[in-house]
Formats: sequence, structure tokens, C-alpha cells
Amino acid sequence: MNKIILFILILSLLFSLPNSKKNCVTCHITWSNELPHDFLKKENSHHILDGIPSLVSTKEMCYSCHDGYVVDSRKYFIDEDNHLGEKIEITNLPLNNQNKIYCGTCHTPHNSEMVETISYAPFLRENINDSQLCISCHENNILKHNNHPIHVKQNNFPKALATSKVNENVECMTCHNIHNHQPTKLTIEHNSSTLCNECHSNQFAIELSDHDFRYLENGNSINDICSGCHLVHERNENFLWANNLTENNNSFCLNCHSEKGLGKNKLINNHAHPIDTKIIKECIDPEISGNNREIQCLSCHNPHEWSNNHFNLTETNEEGNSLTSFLKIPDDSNGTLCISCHQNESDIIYSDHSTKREGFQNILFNEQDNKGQCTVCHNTHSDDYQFTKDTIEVSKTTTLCLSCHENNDLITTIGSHSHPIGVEFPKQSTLPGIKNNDNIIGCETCHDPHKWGQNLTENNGHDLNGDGASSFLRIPTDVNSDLCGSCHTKEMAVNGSKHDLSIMIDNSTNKNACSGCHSTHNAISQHDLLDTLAINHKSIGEQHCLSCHEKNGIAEKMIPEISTHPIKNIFLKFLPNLLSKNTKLKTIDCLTCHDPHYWSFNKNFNNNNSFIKNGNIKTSFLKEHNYESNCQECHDINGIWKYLYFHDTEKRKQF
Amino acid sequence: MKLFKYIIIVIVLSGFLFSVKRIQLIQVYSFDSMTSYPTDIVGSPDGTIYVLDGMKNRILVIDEKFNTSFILPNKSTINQAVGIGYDNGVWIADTPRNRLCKINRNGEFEEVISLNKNNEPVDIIFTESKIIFSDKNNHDIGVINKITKQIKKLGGKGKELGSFSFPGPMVKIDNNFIVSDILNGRVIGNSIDYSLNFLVAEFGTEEGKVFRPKGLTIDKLKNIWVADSYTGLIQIFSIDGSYVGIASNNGNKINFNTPTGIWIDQLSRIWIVESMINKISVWKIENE
Repeated sequence: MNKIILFILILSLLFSLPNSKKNCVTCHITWSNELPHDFLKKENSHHILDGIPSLVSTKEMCYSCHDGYVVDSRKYFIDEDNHLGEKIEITNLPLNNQNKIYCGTCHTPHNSEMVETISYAPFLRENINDSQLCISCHENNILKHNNHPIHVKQNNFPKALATSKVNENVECMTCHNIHNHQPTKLTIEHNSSTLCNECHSNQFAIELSDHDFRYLENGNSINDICSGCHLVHERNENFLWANNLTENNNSFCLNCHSEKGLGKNKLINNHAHPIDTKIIKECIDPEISGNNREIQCLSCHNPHEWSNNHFNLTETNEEGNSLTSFLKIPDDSNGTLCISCHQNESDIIYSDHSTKREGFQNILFNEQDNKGQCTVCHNTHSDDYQFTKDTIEVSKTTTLCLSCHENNDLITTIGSHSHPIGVEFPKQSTLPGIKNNDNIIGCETCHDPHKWGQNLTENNGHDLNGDGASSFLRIPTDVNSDLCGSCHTKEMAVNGSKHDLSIMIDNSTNKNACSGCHSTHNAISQHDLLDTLAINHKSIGEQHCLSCHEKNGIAEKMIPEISTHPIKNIFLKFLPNLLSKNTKLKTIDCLTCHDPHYWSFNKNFNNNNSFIKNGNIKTSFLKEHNYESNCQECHDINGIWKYLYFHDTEKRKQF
Repeated sequence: MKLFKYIIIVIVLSGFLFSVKRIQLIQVYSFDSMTSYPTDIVGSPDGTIYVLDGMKNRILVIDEKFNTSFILPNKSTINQAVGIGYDNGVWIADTPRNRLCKINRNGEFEEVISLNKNNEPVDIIFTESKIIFSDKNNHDIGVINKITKQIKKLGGKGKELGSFSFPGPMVKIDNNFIVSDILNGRVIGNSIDYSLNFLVAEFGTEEGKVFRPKGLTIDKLKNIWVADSYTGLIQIFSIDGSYVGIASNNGNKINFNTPTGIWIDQLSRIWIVESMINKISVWKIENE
């Protein structure tokens, strides 16, 4: 009887399935005591539980619930070629008996804590909220290379990309699908830019711009806006740069903007604005200079934004101008970009060189030619200036000036009778010479094209009328003759003399001693740039002097009784001292004996009050050499010999 | 004593083997790779077969001559729906969108019954006056009055009879409906008025028991065919719970691959949806 009871008990134990054990057997099917060996399919598992290969986390077991009836994970099985079945070498996570990734590599039903708390992904062996699960296998890739940062907080984090309900950090799973055959979210045909846009939308002003590589010409286009410049993994430099970089901070740009690069149409040559140099001034907006206080391409350009005014590009390959061209700040009519640094040049926007002035608007611009205040003259990336002339005259600056001021239609046209340029000028002058040769005079010697010369605030677009106080003169000429005197030092003796018309004439329009007789530009005569000529005389000296010293002239009281010498060419080659230095006419005239700049060759007579005295043989603007006898030089007995006979070979023979 | 124990086991198992009825199936036709992880199948009185291809947001239609076509939802979606039924038209248990939809051959939605947001229907069957759906999220059965549209929920999460753990596919027999109680590992019969709940097939890992019951269908003898999506076996039970047999071929039981949906048509052929391998096969039942 006892044996029968014992037999019944044994059978009861063998075939009973207590609830607790049934829960386990729901997955741990091999733990069922009643299981016939041929009941199960032969499945691969090297996970041994109680001496029997575990079938718990086989694909078939997982799918028996995740087929939609309990949980719908079918979409993960559809794309099982991602991760599932990959053969790898790891030791910290289990693999199947073929050393391939299977469901149980990453998942375990015994870790359900995250399901209820923070994670969207359930039953994971490691946390994905800090990317630990991914790092378990990809540690080398993550630690040894520069990748997109993880564990960092992203403002306005798109919830669709969040790896958990509480974590708004960027993690591996933010971008990557574990179960999808497309390993990166929001990626279509290798184009991940939609994914990038989720966080970096402010960089997507790049669309349709010249940096949108989808529209590169000549077969260079790519499918993805971002990957032309940035790769997310295994890059070694900042910005996850796709190309190799040198130590030069600007190689981001210069890689392409080189002779063989994709941006070869926009080269930066040796005459470009300097880069990699320290910014000297502290007043520059850090937005321009950057934290390292060096001028870089990125100081002025934002490669992601065609225009900071958010011009909506509607088509590709638009030619850039001073308002677009990826400029952080436009070079507008206020020169905002350049003046950020070149603040000393800011006066230009109030001057006649303002692009708002009629002169610029009417002559230089047309509707398609959108140039800013500075780029109208300067070309930042190639030559120093914009040129309209084929040949360079004297200097690039001078050529630039003449490209506008030689236009016959302009009021500011410089005619043929102007101060010579391209010639040497005295070294003691404080004025600048041309670039590369400080002793050669150019337009820039007297003019600073950025400084009108007097304080101006209004800018109504009308051209200004320049005068000695403005006109971009480096030294104002409305007060004195210092500008001319900077080079023509000796001629400054005219100041205060009877030839200083600025003081000799009441209410004179002449503001300095020079302007009474000379005009720097558009003079009547190129000869000494004389601007007052009485044309009824033959020699230039008489034409000039007698324009005042004649009846009804301003010097009509000083008309000499005998003012003229017979107009007869005589040979004065050997009397150079008698001739005005610049006199090329071999004619005796006023300037033969007079130097109009010197009341007297004797400095003692050149005092401030000398002009009120009547002239005599030691003054009267007479030249020094003939003060004993003005005429004897030619008309004494020696003169006959010197001038009449000496050079006449026939007559010389008679004597 | 140990030897005695083994002898007892062998005797018991042998008894089972000898008592098992092999139901001979002969494959007639198969449709491979026409679907993507299909789940459920149903037939109409005119002999047309409908397979829910939820991952591709469509229904595979197979006529009597095995010609195929698709119903593509028009202006809406049934993406990732799990269950399909037939009542004067095709109905879909639209699991993710918490609704039951009647959809015609043109893909137009003829009728939509919106359920509570927490209802996730996975199968749908019909009586003359009621629509019955299984709700995996609430572990219960919803009964809808066809006229008033009033919904009554039956059951709930539990292990006792009348409760469920993930109720799944269903089939109607007379005044009863049978439910695969998936994670309780059993097949439960219920009277339509839910006054009676009874066990059709119990959990177990031996033949004659079920491990992961899914698809259900009935044959002309009103036996209940149960597809086990993990073991791959299709076993037959009578409504009183007695074990009838196992689907076999040439004396060997057939291990289907993840069979989730089964249907016996009017020609006594069984249609089997093998979800994970995207296969629909038709088998003639020889010794029914």
C-alpha cells in the first residue's frame, strides 16, 4: 500500500507544473519536466541553462510573442539584417552558438525595470540612455575616434529621436536604429540630412546655396547636404570635417577653394584679405573675430547661410554679391561688415564716396550689380581693388581712382591738366607715396578716399560739393598751403607775399596762397598747373603774370612800364639760372627774371610785412642772379661775346 | 528506484504515442513571399481567402483558382493591424489604431467602430447580433451589439477560467466562442453569454497540450484546430477538451514555422499562415 502511495506521489511530482514554474516555462521551455525530446525544434543556442541549451532568447521564442498578438515587433524582424546575425567577437555580451548577434545578445526578459521607468527599449542587458549597450561592442570606435558627441544635452530636442522618456541627451540611439536595415533614422538612400536637420535646423539655410553639394555641377553632386563637409564618425578634426585638414584653421575652406578643389571658381589668391593674423583692435565684435582673436575665413563667412538677411534662395548657383556670399554681416551701403574692423574708414559712408550718393548710383550701379560700400572698390579675395582699366597707372590705388575720375561725364572728372603722378617727390614730405614706393606720388598721396575731410552727418544721397576742407584731402587746403608745402617747401615763401592772393584780395575765394594761381586738377595749363592765363600774350609767363598785372587786373596798379621783352627766341641754353626751372620755352618773359613765389631772394626781405613795401631791385620777386644788373647778363660787352659770337662758329672766327 | 522511475516515464510516454491520432495533410499549394509577416487569415462563404498583410498595409486576396490580388486601404491605413474576420465583408482588427473596420474590395472603409484608446483588438469574430473582439491590452473580450453598438467587456487579466493573459485569435462554434489565451498557454471556450467558461486545451510542452496557441479554426466535425506558433504544431481538440490529433504528413507531425493564422475552407482544406517565413500554404485534410 505504501509503495502505491509513493508511486502516486512520484507521478504527481513528475507531471505537476506549479504556477511559479509555469511562469518560467512560458519562455524557459526546456525547464518543463514533461518535455519529450522530439517536441522541440532543433535550434541554435550556446546558452546553457541547467545543462540544456537554452531556447529562451532564440528568434523563434521571441517571435512567439512579438508577432503582434502580444507585442508587435514585426518591424524589427523585417529589418533583421541590421545587427541580428552579425558575427562579432565580444565577450561581455552573449552570442549564439555561431558567435552571431541574436535577440539575447542585447535583451534579457529579466531586466524589465527600464520598461516602466525611463526607457523606450525594454529588457535590455545594458542601459541605452547613456549608450552603454552600444559602447559594450563599439567601445573602440567610440573612444579612439572623433565622433558626433554623445551624452550631451540638446536644446529643443526632438522627442521623436529621444532614447527614453526622460533623457534628452544625444546618445547613439538618438540617431541609430538598432533593428532597422537602415541603421540611421530618417535616412533615405544614404541621405541623412533630414536627421541632421532635427537638431541642426539653423544650419539648413545652406539649402540651394553654393555649398549645397546636391547641386554641384560637373557630376560632383552628392545626395546628402551635410556629408560633403561633415561625417559623423571617425573624423579626427573639429566640426567632424569630412576632408583632411592641415594645421591651418582655414583649411576647412581652402580645401575646396583651391586650384584643384570643388570651389576653384572662387579662389583666394595672394592678394586676398590677410587671414590667420591676430586682430589688433579690441573693439571688434567677437562675432566677427571669434574667441581666438584671429582673422579666419569664418570671421566673415558663415558657410551654412547664404545671406544673413535670410534671402530665400529659389534656385541654385546664384552668383553672390556683397549682401550674400555666405557673409555673416553684409557689406551693405553702410559697409557694415568691413567697418566692424576697419572703423577708421567709417567716415566714408558720409562722403561723396558713399555708394548712396548720386554719383555712385547713376554711374557705377545697375540693377544687377549689387555692390556694397567697400566691395565697390575692394576685392577681398583676389586683387586689392576692383578695376575697370586694363593697365595699372602709377599704382593700383591711382588706377582705381582714375577708373572713375577719368570719366568725362562726371563733375569730379580729372582732366588732362592735373598735378603729375608717378614722379618722385621729396623724401621729407609727410605725405604717403604709392604702395611699394613711398617716394612716388599717386592720387593717394594727397587724398584719403575714405575721409571726406570734414564732419558730415547728413546723407541724403545727393552728391556733395567738395572744397579745400573736404574733397578727401589729407591736409585741408582751406586754411593754409600746408598740403602743397609738404612737398613744395621753398615755394611756401609766397605765403604772406604780394602774390598771396588769399590775403591780398578782400573776400577772396582763395583760401590759401597757392590756389590763386594754381589748380591741382583741371588747370588751364599743364605748365605749372597755372589756372589764370591772359591768352592775348604769347609766352606762358606773360600769359599768367599779365592776367593780373594788366588793366582791370587785380594787380593793375603794378603794371610795369616796360613789361615785355621782344619776343624773340634767343639761345639761353647756357643761362639756366636765368630761366625758371620749369620753363621749357626758350623765351624771355616775366619768369625769366621773376620768381613769383619769392618776394626777395634775400630771406631778410621776406618778412611778413614786406608786401606792403614797394618793391625794389632786391625784392619785387626778382631772381637773385641779376640783382646787380638785370640786363647786364645779356646786354653788356661780355654778353655780346657770350651770346652773340661765342656760339656762332663763323663770327667766332672773326674774333 | 531510479531505474523504476525511468521505466514509468517510458510507459507513460509510450501510451501517449500510441494514442495519438495523426491527421494526414497533403500540401496542395503555397504562396511564398507575397506578404510580410502576415498574421491572420479568413475565408468568405464564396470561397475567397483573405490574408492580413498588416506590415504592408494591405490584404492578400486569393480566389478559388489561387489567383491573387490585394485590397489596398483607400484614404486610411491598416498598417500593423493583426486580426481579420469576415461578416458580409472583410473586417480588420486594427490594433494600433484601436478600431474595427469593415473594408470593401476597393479598399474603402464601409464601417469603422472606434474603441477606447486603450483597446488593442487582435482578432474579430461575429454572431448574428454581436461583434466579438479580443483586446490584448486589457486582457479581455469585447462584445459589441451590432445594432446599438454598445460594448460590453468580458474577462480581464488573470489565470482562472474567464480571465486571460493576452487573448488572441478566436473562433465561433455554435453558441460558444473559443479563445487562444496566449500567455496563459491555453485555449478557452466560452459561451456567447459568457456564463460558461471551459478549458479546451491546456498549457504544456507535450503533445496534446499547447505552448503558444495562436490561430484557431474549426472543421466540419466542429473540432478545434489550434496552431502553436512556437512549436509549429497544429493540434486538434474537441470542444470538450479531448485531444483529437496532430497535423502530420506521412506519419510525421509537421513543424510549421510560426503558424499564427489557420483557416479551413468549405473544401475541407486547411490554409496556414506561417508568419515569420511569409508563407501561406494550402493542405488537403486526408483522413478527416
